[in-house]
Amino acid sequence: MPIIVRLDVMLALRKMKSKDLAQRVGITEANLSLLKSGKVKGVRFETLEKICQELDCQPGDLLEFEPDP
Amino acid sequence: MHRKDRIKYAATVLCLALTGFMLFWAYRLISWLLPYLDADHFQRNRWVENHIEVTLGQQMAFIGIYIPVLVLGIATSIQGIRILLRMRLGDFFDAKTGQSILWLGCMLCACILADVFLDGMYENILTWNNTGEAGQIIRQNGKAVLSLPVEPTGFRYQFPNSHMTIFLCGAAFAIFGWLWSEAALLQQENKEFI
Repeated sequence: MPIIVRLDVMLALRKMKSKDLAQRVGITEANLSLLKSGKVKGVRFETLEKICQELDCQPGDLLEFEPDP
Repeated sequence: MHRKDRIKYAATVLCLALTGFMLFWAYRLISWLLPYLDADHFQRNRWVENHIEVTLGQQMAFIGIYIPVLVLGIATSIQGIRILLRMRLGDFFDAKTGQSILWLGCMLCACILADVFLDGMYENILTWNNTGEAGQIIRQNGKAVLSLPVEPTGFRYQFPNSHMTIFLCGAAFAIFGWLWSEAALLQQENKEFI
């Protein structure tokens, strides 16, 4: 898929654990793991807003468009 | 008793009842049809006049028109049993259950349509050898053919209220099943959004 999720990079930069972020955002660890691996159909604006708030970043820091070769 | 167990229990009872009904219905239809392998049975039951001989082709065609009804009736019941088995296993709100209900409705409609239209063919089958004048016994190749009516009758059918009600129920099942299936797919899609 051409949309790459850079959540793990932001988590590493903010030195935050997945478990903590999942708890603060209000989603399960399993769902956060799926989001990190990009194995989801989409992400709600509400979830994105909370993640950006907790990680103090912009949506563009989390998502990247990489065209198919 | 836990709610899931209650559903399981009810589904099992309904499943057994439906299986029993299917076997009974199939047995009744088959036991009604089989005696018609004997040509005299048509006369005994006043389908034709006493002196009329029903040919083997007519017998086979007469029995043959009820076979699709039998097959569709059994298929509808099996579909119902499949839905109940899914309920028994706890597969309530998924697309496959919805599709099964959709197919149940379609099969029920098809069964009713087959019953109505094929039932309308029996007169045509029993009179297709008719050639003579009214009231006369005509012999063709040594065989007597129907004296009444004069000409072979055309295709005539009736759509009784009871059949119409079941047909509408089948259509409602089909629409409900489709809605169920689409709703389950939508829910599944929503679940994949985080």
